[in-house]
Amino acid sequence: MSDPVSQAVLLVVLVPFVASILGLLVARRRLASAFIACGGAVVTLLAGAYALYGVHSNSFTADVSTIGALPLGQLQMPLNLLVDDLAAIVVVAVAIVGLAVQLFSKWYLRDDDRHGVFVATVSLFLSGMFLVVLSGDLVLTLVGWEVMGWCSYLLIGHNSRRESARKAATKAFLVTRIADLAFVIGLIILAAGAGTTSIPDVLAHWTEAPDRAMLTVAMLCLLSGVAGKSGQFPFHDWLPDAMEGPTPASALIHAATMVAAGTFLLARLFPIFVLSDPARLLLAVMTAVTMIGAAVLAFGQSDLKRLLAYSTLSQIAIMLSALAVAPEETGSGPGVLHLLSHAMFKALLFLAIGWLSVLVAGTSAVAMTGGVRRHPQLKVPIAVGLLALAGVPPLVGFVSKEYVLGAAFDNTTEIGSAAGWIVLLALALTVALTAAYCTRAWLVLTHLAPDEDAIRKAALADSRRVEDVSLIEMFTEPAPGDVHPSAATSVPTVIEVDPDHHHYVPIHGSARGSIGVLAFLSVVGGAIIFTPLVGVEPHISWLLVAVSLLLILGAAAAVRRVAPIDGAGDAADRVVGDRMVTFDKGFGADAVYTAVVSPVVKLARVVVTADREVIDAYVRGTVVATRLAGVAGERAHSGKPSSYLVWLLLGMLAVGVAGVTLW
Amino acid sequence: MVVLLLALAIPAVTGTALIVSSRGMGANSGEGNANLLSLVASLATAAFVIAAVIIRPEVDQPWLPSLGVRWQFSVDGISAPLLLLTALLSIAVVVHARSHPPYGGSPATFYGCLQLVEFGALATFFARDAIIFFIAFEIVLIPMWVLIARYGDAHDLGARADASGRFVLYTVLGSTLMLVGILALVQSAGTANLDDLAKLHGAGMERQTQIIIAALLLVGLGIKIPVWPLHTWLPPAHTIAPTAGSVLLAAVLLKMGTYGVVRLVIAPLPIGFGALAPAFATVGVVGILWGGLCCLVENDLKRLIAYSSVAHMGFVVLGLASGTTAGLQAALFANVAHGVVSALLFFLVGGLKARWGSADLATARAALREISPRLGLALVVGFAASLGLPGLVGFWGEFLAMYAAWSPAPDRPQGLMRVLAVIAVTGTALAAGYSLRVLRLIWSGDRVAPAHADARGPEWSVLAVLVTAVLVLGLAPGLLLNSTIKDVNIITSEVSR
Repeated sequence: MSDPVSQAVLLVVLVPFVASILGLLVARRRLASAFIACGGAVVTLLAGAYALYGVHSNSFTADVSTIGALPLGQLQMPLNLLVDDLAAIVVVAVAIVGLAVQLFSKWYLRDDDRHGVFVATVSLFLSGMFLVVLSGDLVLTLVGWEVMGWCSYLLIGHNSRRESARKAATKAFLVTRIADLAFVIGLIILAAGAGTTSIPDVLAHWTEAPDRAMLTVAMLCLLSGVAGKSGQFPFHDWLPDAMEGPTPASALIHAATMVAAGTFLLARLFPIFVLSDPARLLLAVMTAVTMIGAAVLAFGQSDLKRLLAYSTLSQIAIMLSALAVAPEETGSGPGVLHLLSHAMFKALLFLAIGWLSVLVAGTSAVAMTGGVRRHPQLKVPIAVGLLALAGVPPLVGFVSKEYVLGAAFDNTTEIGSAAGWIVLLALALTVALTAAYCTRAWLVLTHLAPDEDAIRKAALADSRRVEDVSLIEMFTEPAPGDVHPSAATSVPTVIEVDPDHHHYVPIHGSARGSIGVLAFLSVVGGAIIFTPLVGVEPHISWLLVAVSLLLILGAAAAVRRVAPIDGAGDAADRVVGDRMVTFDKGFGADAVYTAVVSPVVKLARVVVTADREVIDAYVRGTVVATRLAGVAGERAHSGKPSSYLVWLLLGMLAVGVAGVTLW
Repeated sequence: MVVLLLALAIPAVTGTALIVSSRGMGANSGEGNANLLSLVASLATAAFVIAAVIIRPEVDQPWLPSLGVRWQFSVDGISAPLLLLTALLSIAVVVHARSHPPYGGSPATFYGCLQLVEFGALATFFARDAIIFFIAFEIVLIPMWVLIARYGDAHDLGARADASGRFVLYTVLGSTLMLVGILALVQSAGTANLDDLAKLHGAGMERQTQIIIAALLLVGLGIKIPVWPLHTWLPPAHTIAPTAGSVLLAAVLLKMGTYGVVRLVIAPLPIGFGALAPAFATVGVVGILWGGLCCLVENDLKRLIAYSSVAHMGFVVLGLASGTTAGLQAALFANVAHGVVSALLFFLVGGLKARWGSADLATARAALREISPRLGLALVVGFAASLGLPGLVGFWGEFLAMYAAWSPAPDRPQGLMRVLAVIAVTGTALAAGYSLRVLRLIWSGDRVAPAHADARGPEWSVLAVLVTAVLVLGLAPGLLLNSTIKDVNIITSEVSR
């Protein structure tokens, strides 16, 4: 406990928690709350980095005690944290994204009256995420897991004045909670079998235990919770709606961290997960459906933020699929590698799109058309993000995706299970689809409408006369007098003013810097395979690289070809067309959820009626019965001697009968 | 010893004095005096209760030698948390009444009744003699009846009479069954001392006898807990009662039922309870679903919280029925947890009802998050705890109860208990459903009218303390679990490893 690495590990969990409490106390003071949130994130990152250093410098792996074991008779509940190389690198990655998001929020929510509450909730969320990552106890995992879910609810519903945000928040929490029902059962099964909730002991028990059927049940139960949190089919539909939350929250929670926590958990439990073939097959099927389905949906979204949300679903399916197929000796490395890489480039994409959305006032494809061309400072970050997402070498997304492909390929050659083939084929298709929607997004963002083209030419013509005005200023903010008269009427001015962003404030240097860091990591992050930080061999199959490059290039070329030059320059307009509404609705997954919930509400009405008319009827019945008995008793005392005589005779008869029968 | 007697004497004397002198204290001028006196008494009582919990004194004097009834009071790990809960919430209700004074009758009587309820509850938890336990158990009834009948919701006199009458008659029915059970237990075990009864573990009692006595006691105490289907007195009583009444009812009186089950059934009648445990667990789980479902469509916020109490107490019942140390620990923890959470929610809703004029959820109101952030924060924490969010106090008891049901004691039917555990888990989804429903209806939204004041002064201090308690006990469950483990081990005869 006294050694500094253990203390650093404790700090990683504690500092964000304390920051959230302090942040709530000063929530109304903008600077103080931003300072606490960002300061907390910095300290956490330093502590996490120190823990990473400690783990690798002296191969330190230790249990760190927290609030002490709970006395529960035969059940051991030590509630320890566990730091090892797997946890340490994920902690650092989460801390980097967390810090970037806190810095970005300071600028992005500068006009929001609930900025303080927002950043405090993000801090609390980070604490929950670190708890999951560093947990050495199933119960602590559950605690962090649900705390993240609750923070996710609060952050999606951050703008609680909007009905759509309230609805999305409730939906997200309920869907994940329902998925977590089985998750809780799974944890209970694991703990009950081992007699302890300590993860190392649970792993030791179940790898030896002969009861594989029960282990499979437990793993299937866990998969339900993982699918819920990670938005895997059939629980996927909450995540696109979660884009109602402010973009920094989406970047952190609904892209980089919480939705990937399931991957981490399965990686942590990999030694026993790998023992259950049915669970692995189920995960393979689930992820195959999700990665293809979500990629298709991503292509047809009319809103670029929702496009990113669906791409998140697809990418998380890829990292989970690695765990479904990785041979035992490969381990969880490929899945974790993709987790880390996705955290970087997806956080980058979200923050960059969030930045752009402030500049163009909206996230729909129509609003964002040509956004990058008009705001060239975004060109590099968005290009890097999309290239990494598409898996173009040598970016980080390429490296990690190749490892997942490699794991699936190894599975087909070494084990030959159905799961391997399912995942390999789905991955191939997904690589092409991902390249397609990335190309689509890029073409939309860099689109130059014909009329805008005219403006540009006019501006060029003007610039020869007005030499002291730079080219870019001329066509980004064309003043009415300066432009060519024929183009003046069709100038696409800012379409609508977002009420949250009344006046434009140039992006803060810190926010821009954090985007830059994420972009840098997205480019060079792939080099991590040459370090011992993630448990993978530096090895890439050139055959798979060649195939995936062909798929990427083919898909990109195809999209480039169908993209129209008029309108928004959106390939989806031509491919998907009017069906885009159906795509936006996620093919009606909502209707399925409603169909599940409405019988419950009907049952609830039945129960309320039964409560009143059946159960309580007996209670009210005693009142009626008592009163009737009283009235009858009163009637019996009529005051007439003859009736008393009758009662007397009846009584004697009764006594006589009783005497004879009972004697 | 003096400490313990003072902890009992102060509320008894203050309560009696306030009620006797209520005519002298006018409705207006007396309000402040009665409140102040009550506050001082509650603080003093709490000080002595805390002292008693620390030094663990014992009182043992003969009372009715021919019956073997003795004045026996003491404190152990199981009663200590409940004593503290009672003493601290008694302060809280008096403080809260400074923000929301009682209406409907003399304030002195109101505060006097609160003191008497506190006295009865403390005596119940202190008692070490089954007969004394019963007497103390009954003392709370009449003052609580007065609180509901005279100081309850002023809108509907008929409903007040119905709710208070129902409360008294229903619980008296339970008490009668319990009295028969206690007398039978004392007679067949040969002692009325609860500690001796626990140590005997039912030695020398026939299985049949144990089952009959346990059944009598479980039905009697089950009314108080309340266990489905004996719960229908609870929603009207909670809905009509004044805030202080609802808080004490939920946080203290219901706990007396579960406490009684531990002391009078589980400890002295292990075989009888073991035979009935499957049925007991089943009705508990039915209660979890029943209460949760009712909450999904209930439109009166106070009734909603009352039904959620039925669900939460279902988890306590499930833990008790499992028969393991983990299960008993879970039940005792969930018991206190429900006390804290329901107290928070009833304080909150009582304040809201005073502001809104009703507790109807169907009426459009200003969003609490917009106009009263403090009430909003307390509401979010309260319902997050109510849905069993890990890290808050509601989680540990419910999770451990489900665990205990999954791996029950060897003599319990494992298959049935596992099915019950799975069903109980679905109850947590219902809890999430109704909690989010309430938050969506009254916490979030864009309406800012009709405006009302945020919590401040006494009201806010009470809410803040309870919010803190929800957090602290949620983060450090060991505080409670370590207090109860020793005595729980005596009951389950299981040696903690």
